[in-house]
Amino acid sequence: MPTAPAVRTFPAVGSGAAAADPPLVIEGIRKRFGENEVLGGVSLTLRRGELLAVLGGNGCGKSTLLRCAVRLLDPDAGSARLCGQDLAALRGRSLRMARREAAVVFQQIALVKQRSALENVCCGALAQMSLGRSLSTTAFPTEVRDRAAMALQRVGMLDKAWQRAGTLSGGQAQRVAIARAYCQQATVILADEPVSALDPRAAEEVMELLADLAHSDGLAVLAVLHQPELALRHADRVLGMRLGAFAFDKRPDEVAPEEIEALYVHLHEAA
Amino acid sequence: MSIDAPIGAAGPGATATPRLPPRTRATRSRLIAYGAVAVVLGLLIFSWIDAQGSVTQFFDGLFARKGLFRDVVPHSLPPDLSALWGGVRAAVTTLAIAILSIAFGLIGAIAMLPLAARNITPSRPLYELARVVQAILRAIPELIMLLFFLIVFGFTPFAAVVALTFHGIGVKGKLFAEAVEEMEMAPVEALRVAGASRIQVFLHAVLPGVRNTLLALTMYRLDANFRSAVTLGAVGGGGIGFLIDNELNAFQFKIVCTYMIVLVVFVLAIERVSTIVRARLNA
Repeated sequence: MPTAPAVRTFPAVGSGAAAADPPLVIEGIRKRFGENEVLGGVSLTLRRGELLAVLGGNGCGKSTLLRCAVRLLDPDAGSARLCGQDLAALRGRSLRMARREAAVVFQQIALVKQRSALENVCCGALAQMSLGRSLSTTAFPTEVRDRAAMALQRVGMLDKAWQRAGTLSGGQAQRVAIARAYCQQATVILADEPVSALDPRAAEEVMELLADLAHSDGLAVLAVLHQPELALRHADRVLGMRLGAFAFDKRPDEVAPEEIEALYVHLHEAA
Repeated sequence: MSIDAPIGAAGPGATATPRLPPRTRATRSRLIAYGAVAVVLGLLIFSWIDAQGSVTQFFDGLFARKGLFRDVVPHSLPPDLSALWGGVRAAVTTLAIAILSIAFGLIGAIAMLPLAARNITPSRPLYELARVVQAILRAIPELIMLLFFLIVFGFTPFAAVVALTFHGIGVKGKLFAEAVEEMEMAPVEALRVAGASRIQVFLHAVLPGVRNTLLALTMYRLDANFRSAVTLGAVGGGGIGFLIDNELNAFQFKIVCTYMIVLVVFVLAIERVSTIVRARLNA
């Protein structure tokens, strides 16, 4: 069984030098699908070196929030500033360049199964390559391959570099997906239910890795989770969502069990 | 309560047999099903009449004194093996037509793919345009296309290659686009967010993701293309189809029989190779 991490002291929300120049700032984002308002004007700030866990029941708007943050979905109102750039104001190439600062780790394994782990990780750096050097994986620059190898080493998957992604276990594949984000040299990692398809041990390892990337490498990590116990154990901040709005935004040691229960009970009763 | 007990004859505490709600929707569905069967039967009867179907003619054609089995088959046996090498040589030409048209069709279909798949197309009008072009290419039969290309290229196997290529772009283009529309989009979105361009996303997420499906579909089309190349050959496209047509017109049934044997061996061999390759791709 995975061992519980050592007791950590949590930084105060919104304090310290890290609070300056936050890489992701979301302000008043609204999103509606037909009659259903999924996000009702939410705002949040994600700082470097912190792991923010977002909890909430199905359909409360967690994944929509994450997608609006990198304009995989266009919000109806509000703005998302990624490393100081308002994504809503950008188009085409400038939008692509701005989005390089964020990497998304999906619930389902977002690797190309027919390719090796190394090739998948290299693809994180595609935006930094010329079209000519990116036409084939064999033409990728050496420095990108070296960086990909370092990324694999960082997530403990270097020995699987040449293994086809389709043959990796769920936990291994998710770690390779995180290595791709690392190779991308993104400032922000947005993880959409990254451990939902994993067994408890693999889930623990992936959460430890995400927390370590935040604390050791200074990345800003936002993870949408369905496992409150993982959120409380690994996150620096826990954000509860209910019906498209934030119910609480607290340090894990400040979150009461009833508050977490209310996130799900409320939805159940509403249904 | 015993399992053999009749319904309603339950023991103490059992409730009365529940009354089922009326099957309004089920009755409607049944009426629709009966209507559909009637329409299909009507279509079959109409088609039989319109195609001048005749059971008598069918059996006469096969078994009468001047029928296939009592007249043509005896005149076809034994096959004239002196025509064997010529038949093999012509079948190789037909195979060359099939292979070239498959290769060019594959390139054409993949080139249209970024526009023709709904989930990766840059704009809806371009998607509609690509799908319309594919539909037109599919709608014109290979034989009719060949008649046009014979005017352009003359009576050469290359005219058949071009005709099969264009038709293949229409057929494979649709199949490929549907394969992309059904693919897992997470790798595509992951690269999109990472800042990769459309071309990079297509090369490193879309194509590798559907590569095996596309190759399997292409191999599946290879034997279909070979059979089509035989038919086109009879109309002037060259190859074994052209030889069969010539010898049939000269009533040289023994030579035709040799060509038919060559043809069947080629088709079975191609089918076998296609099956093996597809099985390996799907493994």
